[in-house]
Amino acid sequence: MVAVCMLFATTIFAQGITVKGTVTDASGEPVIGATVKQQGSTNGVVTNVDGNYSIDVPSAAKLEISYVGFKTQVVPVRGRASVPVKMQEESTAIDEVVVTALGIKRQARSLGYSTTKVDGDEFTMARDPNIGNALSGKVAGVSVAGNATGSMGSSRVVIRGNSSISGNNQPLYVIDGVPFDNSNQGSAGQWGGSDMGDGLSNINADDIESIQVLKGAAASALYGFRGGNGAILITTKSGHKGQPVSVDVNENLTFNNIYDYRDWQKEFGLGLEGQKPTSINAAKAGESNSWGGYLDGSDATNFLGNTYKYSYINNWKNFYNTGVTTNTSVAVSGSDKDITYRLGVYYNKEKSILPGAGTHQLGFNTNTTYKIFKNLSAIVTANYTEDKSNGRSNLSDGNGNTNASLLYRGNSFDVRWLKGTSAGWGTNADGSEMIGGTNVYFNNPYWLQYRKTNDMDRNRLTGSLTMKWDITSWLYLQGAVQRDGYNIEFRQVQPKGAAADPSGWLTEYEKNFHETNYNFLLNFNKEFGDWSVGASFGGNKMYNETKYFYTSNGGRPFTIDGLWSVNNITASGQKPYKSFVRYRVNSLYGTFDLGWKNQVFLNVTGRNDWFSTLSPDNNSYFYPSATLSWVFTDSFRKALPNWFDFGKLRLGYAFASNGTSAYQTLMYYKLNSFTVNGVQTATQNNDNSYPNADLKPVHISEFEVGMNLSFFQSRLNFDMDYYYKKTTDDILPVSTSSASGYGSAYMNIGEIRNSGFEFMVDGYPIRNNNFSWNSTFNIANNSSKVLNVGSDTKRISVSGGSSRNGNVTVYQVVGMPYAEIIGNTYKRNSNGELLLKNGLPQAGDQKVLGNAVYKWTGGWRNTLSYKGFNLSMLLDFKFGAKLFSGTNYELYYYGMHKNTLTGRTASNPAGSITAAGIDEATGKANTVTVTSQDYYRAVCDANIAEEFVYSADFIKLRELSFGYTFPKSMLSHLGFVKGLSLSLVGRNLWTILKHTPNIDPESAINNSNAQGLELNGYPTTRSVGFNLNIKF
Amino acid sequence: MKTYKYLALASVLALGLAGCSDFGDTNVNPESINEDNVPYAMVFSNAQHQALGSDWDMWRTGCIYCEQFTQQLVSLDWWPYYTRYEWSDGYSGSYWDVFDGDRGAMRDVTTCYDKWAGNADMKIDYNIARVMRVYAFSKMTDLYGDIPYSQAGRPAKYPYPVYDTQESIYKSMLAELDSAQANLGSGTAKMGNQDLYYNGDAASWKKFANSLMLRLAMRLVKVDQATAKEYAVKALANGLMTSNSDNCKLAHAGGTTSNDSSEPFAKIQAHEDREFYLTDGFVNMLKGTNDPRISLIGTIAPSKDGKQYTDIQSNTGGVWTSHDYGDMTFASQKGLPSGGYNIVENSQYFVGKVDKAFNDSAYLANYGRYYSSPNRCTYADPTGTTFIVTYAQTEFLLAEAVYRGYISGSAKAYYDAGVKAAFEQYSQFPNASSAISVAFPDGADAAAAAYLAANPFDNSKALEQINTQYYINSFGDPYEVFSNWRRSGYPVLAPAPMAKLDGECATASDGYSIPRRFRYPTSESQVNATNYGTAVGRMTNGDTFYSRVWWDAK
Repeated sequence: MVAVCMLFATTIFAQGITVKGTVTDASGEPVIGATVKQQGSTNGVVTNVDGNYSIDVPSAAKLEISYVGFKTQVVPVRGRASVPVKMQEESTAIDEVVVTALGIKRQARSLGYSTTKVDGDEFTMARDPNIGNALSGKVAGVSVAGNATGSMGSSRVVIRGNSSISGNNQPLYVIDGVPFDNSNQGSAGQWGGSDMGDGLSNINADDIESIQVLKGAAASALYGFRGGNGAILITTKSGHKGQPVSVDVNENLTFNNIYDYRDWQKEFGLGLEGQKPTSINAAKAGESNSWGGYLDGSDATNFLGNTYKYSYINNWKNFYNTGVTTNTSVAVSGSDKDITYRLGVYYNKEKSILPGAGTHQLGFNTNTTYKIFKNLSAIVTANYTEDKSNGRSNLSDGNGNTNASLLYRGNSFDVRWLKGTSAGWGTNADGSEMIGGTNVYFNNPYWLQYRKTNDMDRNRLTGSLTMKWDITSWLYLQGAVQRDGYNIEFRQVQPKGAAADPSGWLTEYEKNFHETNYNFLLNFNKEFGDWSVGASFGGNKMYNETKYFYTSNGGRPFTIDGLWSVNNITASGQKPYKSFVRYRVNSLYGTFDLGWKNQVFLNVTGRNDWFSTLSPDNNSYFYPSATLSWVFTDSFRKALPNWFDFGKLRLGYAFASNGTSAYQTLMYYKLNSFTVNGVQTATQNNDNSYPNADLKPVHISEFEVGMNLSFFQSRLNFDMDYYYKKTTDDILPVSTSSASGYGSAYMNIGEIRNSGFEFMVDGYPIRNNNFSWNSTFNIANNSSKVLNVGSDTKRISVSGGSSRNGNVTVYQVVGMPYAEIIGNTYKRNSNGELLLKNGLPQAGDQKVLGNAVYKWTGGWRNTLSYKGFNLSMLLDFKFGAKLFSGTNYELYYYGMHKNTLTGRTASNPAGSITAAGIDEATGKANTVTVTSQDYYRAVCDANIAEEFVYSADFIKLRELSFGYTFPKSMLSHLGFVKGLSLSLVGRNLWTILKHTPNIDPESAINNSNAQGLELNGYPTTRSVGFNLNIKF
Repeated sequence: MKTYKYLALASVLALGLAGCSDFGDTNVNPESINEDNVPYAMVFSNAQHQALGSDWDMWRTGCIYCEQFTQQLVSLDWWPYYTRYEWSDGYSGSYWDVFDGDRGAMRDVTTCYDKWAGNADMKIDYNIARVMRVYAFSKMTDLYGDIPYSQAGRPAKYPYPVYDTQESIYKSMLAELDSAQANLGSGTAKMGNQDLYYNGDAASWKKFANSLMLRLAMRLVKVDQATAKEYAVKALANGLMTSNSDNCKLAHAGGTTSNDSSEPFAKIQAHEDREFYLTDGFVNMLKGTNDPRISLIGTIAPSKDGKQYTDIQSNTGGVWTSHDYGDMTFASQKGLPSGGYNIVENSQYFVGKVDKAFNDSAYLANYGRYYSSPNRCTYADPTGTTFIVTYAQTEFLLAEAVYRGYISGSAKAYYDAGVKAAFEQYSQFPNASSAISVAFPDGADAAAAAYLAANPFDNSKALEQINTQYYINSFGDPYEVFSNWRRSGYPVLAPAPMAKLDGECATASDGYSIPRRFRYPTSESQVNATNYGTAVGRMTNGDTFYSRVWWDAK
């Protein structure tokens, strides 16, 4: 970079003078650590904490003032003793130097592909504990599916559509050059389970300098086998050269309250067929039903035999807490002669809305550069976190799901009745689970939160040591060792006495993951007249390993009550096992850049990967890219008006991949977990998928074309592009005839294409010294089409994409977009009238009921600044997807949905419905009258999913912050305090538009490829709080 | 100092530059058995075990369908729809699941068959695998008709195997058995005790092969008398089972209901409250002939809260204790009506219509305590025995072969020997002694003699008598009961009257009759569409319960 920027101007020898001055930003605040240099020399200083500098230069010299995020300025001294400098923020499109793949820094103007940088401060205010979720609405073409799971949950970030039919669709994450594993540690499926979180919640927003999003294959082609989904490069903060010691303290405190989307009937209470329960048996039978009598406040009997007033009770209010999240971070940064450093520590604590649940997280971060020798520096980056969480609830299926155990309680059931014995843990006197009815799978929520435990501890270290040797100003060589690794201890205990599992069970494991990368890079940059030439050559060796050690995988029964240890389970019931997955990839890569007059740039890259996961005859793959960038405004400068600052056309084409998985090429066997008449038996262990010795990696090719425009001294900027991405050879477990011996076989057969456009406009409608209004709007469209799934049926079900209820499955269908929701429709005649049987609706054909992937995504941020005040607001929106709501299905079944009021009245609480439609048997209009309960249950029993598929479109006010930065003048009274700002922050404050009754349209059973399904999700929370930042 | 620093740099670079080495065995899972070290004999054991069915298919295709079709068992609470012949893809297709997955009997036996073929050291093992493969595929084709056979279980070559016609499968199976039994020779297979049936004993396998050959030959009486006769004669000449000690069976010592180690039919019976009961037809058949075996087949199980007490999982790991045995006396046994009824009071299918006792609500709530369910000393013992091919069945088939003139001899002698063997066979259940002492106070032989004296062989009713005995002896193997009933037409069973009322699956064109085969799983129609289509095209009624398999000609 230095080499690129450095101009070899002639040094003018003249009389030296001492020049002093203050460097400030647009709002007049001092810029600390800015470099002030005599142009064309190595003579330079750095501004101090007050933004002041002092430098001895010849009186005719020019000062070059630079600082990250600001335009570099050149100011002639002209003999002055005082030269104040006002810096202007850099415009992304024009002069910025950006981090590209493999950490290579390049001028933004030379890039022939789309990339967007998000500054770290966009994550610190209205924060989301998961950095992935915090990207929502900020970058055109980046679709974030945040699942309301609190700080313990994961995120789904998809860039430019889903490029794999059944494999990974999330981008590569890189933190300070180190590939960062963001695997989801577990998610719910059809039969329940918890969102076990991913890696991104281990990154503290206060440590982030910026996030660079490399959207397409052209940008991430240098990541080869895992660049196919784009890449997200996270750069952590570091000290700056010449910067004195400074301490940065940030305190963020938010209160998280439930954003209650429920809007169900509150007129009829617990019970069945219009009957108010007046006996224990009736109370138990009706436990999870609101088909009872009219809620008139009269006496009714509960499952304990107690009399209570028959009226509506809001169990959420009686059960959930206000969540509290605090995040404290302290960072020390600075520099000395040979070192620039930053050490950060943070502590994050969340008390969940779920009683007894929460997270603690302690983290350390450093990014330090030490100049060992004149041209040789060592850069150490490290991010260490340890976190502990407990009390995660199950999602999806009702069993084990705390929210489900609250949602469907009959309208008059006070959940506090279930507290049980004095401890309030939901137990009977004998310590067993107290349930309010007869269904042992309809749990006691207190039991789930206080007795059934769920703990996860994680330690993670992501770090690297890089040695960089600046051989000359235009050539450097660097080598690095990088490691990302974590250790998870998980333990889930169902104690003895659970209604559904009287003997209890234990799942306990330790997971060890690590990935090590060893690499080198030789980088060359030099200018020859009008030409600039850059080239690099490098290589990488990667080793990735995951081990699980299960002491018990659902082992049972416990022998002694109260000791929830594997040592307390009989030997035959312990179920221990170990798994071990490892793979290597070796790579060599190179780049070649050619620039002409700083206007036209050609960039060619190539990478070859060798995979341990493939057959040795077939394991080498090459991923090239070529991009072209033309700053046409420079070429036609004279012909263009003044206000047309900048215009660039770009063009890119690249190949990349999505990686492969270990062990897909070999047959495996396993010992069965039982013996037959004392004899051990063995069978296949390939998950019923026949391995394929000739597998190849997935192949992704992408074409993109785009443009950057900038007007009126960067007050109005546009960034737009179009892409066309095609995936071939996608590895699919293609369905095979089970008579072959396997239900599927791995084949390189999947094909899908994605295309779309992205548009971003950034402008300052008002910008003057006191007041500025910045408005940034982005929108992206993606359309996809599945081209081949390789089976006779022309469709393949998405793993984990079957709903627990409603008989709905998400499929990839040839000729259709990614992820189609398929389920039963109503049975109708050709006129569209319902065909009824005994007055009840019937299931018709299975049809596509909608597509689960949003076509349109985007966001709109407005920031208003007046003197020290700052108001920032982010709206985000998504359009064009459908959602099957399993919750609304259940609300029908249990008589809670408002629609189930049809036919019910205070005087006839059982209700009567004579449905409009044709009696199928007679062919005449239906005359059969049924009760409301029978009618709506029939809708559910026939799994008529059509009724529960909704548009998932939404517009949300995602972030809001209002802050005040105290001016220097005010702080002078506080002595050592160098900076102080206080903000009021809010997140998920207002859902401006949605179409899903009772639920958040963003709710989903998991963050896997199985999008479009919702059931029993956590309540969404609305966070409001404060952010305090102090600099010393 | 300078050198040191450059050394540091060089070492970092060296790590990076180490280049593209050989990956070695990185892609071999060190924690899993693979093709190079798997003991194929263990894979063979899995095929032997899973070919008999696990509780997965025994519950669905076995009990919910075959048992209720053949009216030995009925479930009023849980599975009344299927007594009215309604179709469920999962239940109809569950035995088909033995093709793949962890159960994969068809795949695992074929793997061993292909692996051992041509290996002189593995001659006995190979020939055992041939017999085993025939047994497994014969069960499959008897249920579904045309099935993948020649290409099945060979995924590398045939991900979408063709369906062979049942006729060609039968001819191949009979020839295969004949060849295997001839090549078995004597001695012990290399797999030894991994052979769950006979511990690798070649001589026993030879008898089993021939007895199976007789069974398959006699399946063809309605379509191909010549082949039936040819192989019945061969089977007899080659050497059949000659006593109960030759029975092909699988013991389940130590079996528990929490996994697949238990006897599968028993596991279902020990599984849920009020699931399956003996039918009144079956109980009356036994009572009508004063058959003392009723005390070995049924019991009035002890009840708890008005329900059958079935909680043996948490009790003793799947072993019944004497207080669970219930009332096994002849007089107490009682069967439930099996005409497609349920226990829903207002339903048109309410059992109270035919059994007035159910109209009493207290009786309805506690009906479980009044009816016979499978006996816990024998068929409902999870540690019990699965009978695969029995000596008694063999004698009954020989009696029929004589009757049909395929072989010479005395049908009565074979019949009597079969009945005697059937009575004696109960001692092969490991925990049957309590029930045997109730059923046969003077011993099995005396009881059999008394039974035969009271119910002598009558040549004019030979087919009915023989196949009724076959029906009783095969209890616990619902697939075989269903096949032999379709083949012989005995015992005569009336279709469920409620099937007509329901009309969901059985229709007027089928006469609302008892289904004759199982439908292929829907997945085949989607995944293996072409081959599936060809097979369905060969059937007169398409892929329904009412098409007939080849040997089940009208």
